[in-house]
Amino acid sequence: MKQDETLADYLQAQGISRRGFLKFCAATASMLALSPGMAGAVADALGKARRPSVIWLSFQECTGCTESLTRSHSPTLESLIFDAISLDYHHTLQACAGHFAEHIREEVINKHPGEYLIVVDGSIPLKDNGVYSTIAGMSNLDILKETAEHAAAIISVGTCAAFGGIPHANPNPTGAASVMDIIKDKPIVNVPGCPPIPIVITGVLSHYLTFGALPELDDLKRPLSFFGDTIHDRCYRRPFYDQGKFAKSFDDEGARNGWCLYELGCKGPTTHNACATAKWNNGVSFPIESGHGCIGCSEPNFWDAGSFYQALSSSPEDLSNAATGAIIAGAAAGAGVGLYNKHKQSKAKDKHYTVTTKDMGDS
Amino acid sequence: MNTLDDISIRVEPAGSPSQVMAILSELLTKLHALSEQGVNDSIDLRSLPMFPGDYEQLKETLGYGEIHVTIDAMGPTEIYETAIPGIWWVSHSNSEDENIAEFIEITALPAILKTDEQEIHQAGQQLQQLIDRSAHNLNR
Repeated sequence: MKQDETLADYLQAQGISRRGFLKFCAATASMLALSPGMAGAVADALGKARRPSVIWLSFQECTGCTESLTRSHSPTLESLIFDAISLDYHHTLQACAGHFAEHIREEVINKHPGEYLIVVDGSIPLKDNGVYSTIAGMSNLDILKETAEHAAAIISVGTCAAFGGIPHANPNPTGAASVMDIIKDKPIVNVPGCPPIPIVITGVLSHYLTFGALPELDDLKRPLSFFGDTIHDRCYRRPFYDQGKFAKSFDDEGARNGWCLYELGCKGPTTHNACATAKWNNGVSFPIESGHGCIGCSEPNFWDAGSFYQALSSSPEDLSNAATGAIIAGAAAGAGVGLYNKHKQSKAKDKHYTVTTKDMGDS
Repeated sequence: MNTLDDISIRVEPAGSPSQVMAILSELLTKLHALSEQGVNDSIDLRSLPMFPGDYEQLKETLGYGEIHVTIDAMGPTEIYETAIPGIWWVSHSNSEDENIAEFIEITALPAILKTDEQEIHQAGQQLQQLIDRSAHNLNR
């Protein structure tokens, strides 16, 4: 695609009809959680979009985020997004390697200052001068700082890049940090999740292509359209929570009837993500629908927040009255539970809880 | 060879609660708006947290009308008018036959069914080329 060619021109040259483009825009509007009536506006905006250059930096990560994206449903949609952007540098996907690959990264920085996007997955080790993760002899920290200096914006994909993730978990041997811990002078969008829902990753790129700007963010820099609600807010099992119908073990009658998994450790009330609506594996299901509670993977320090199988309300210590009141009333996770959860997270940070089969069998 | 589709699954509606009545009520409101003010609207089914069985129950309740269209554009899209005139079920799939978006549209005719004006303008050239080619073949 030529640099000055619009996306509409490009798609037409590829033999994609106006109907195909409209279909693509309808799916994009759905992905961006826009009203379906906005598909026409999306079509108008995307049709005129130019092609931004994107550098993808992979640091201290498991490649799960890239796998999630490339295994996502709707390859046509994703491939179109990636045809619409110029993905100039990506360790896993690029064909070239070595000095030539690094030269491409430098070329993008020099040729498009202030215009290119950076996508980061993986945390950045800071301890011992960042020696625990290096590429081509440069530490991840130096690569990030050098590449970010002239970038238009940074998209941190996955909980590792957004909040430090699993490398950051206690005792954090490499001194893992998030992108926003290091870069303070560029617009940053966090797309957390372990991994993130792929449609959310492409949703942010689509928003940028459609509107020429990054989406509206919450206080943790997460796009509100995907992270504005908690799992609990949109969970189809919510009526059972309100009625006080909880599964007590993974194989009891409550579990078979699809009752709320709160007592089995579900972190839905304190987790912001789009799993309950966008779902996983081409919209097939999500953890709760498959019978397992949410583990809160799109929240900071989720790995250190205590057992995945203990209810948010449980603790060796006494609950505050506010937390108890909120739970008894069956209200949405109130300030009491939220405050208690923060307290529990800070306590759990100092030690790991061992999970046994007893945790999973008894509640 | 056994496939996932061979495993028989019986989906039992959750009984109450169910989202179906709420969605039908919303459709009624939007149908009135279409009838009285000419306002087209749609519901994105992927944005609704539905209970297992709700989707099937909604489809069964709305039923099938006279028109059923398949579009082949970047994968199949199935559109049919339900038994309720003005309410259409639109299901977009990609070239791997995976569902990418699903809507219920409240409209006289879904926009994707209409031919684009620019394509009509270009169609004249396309047809002229066909005519020229056919004439050339006839004169051989």
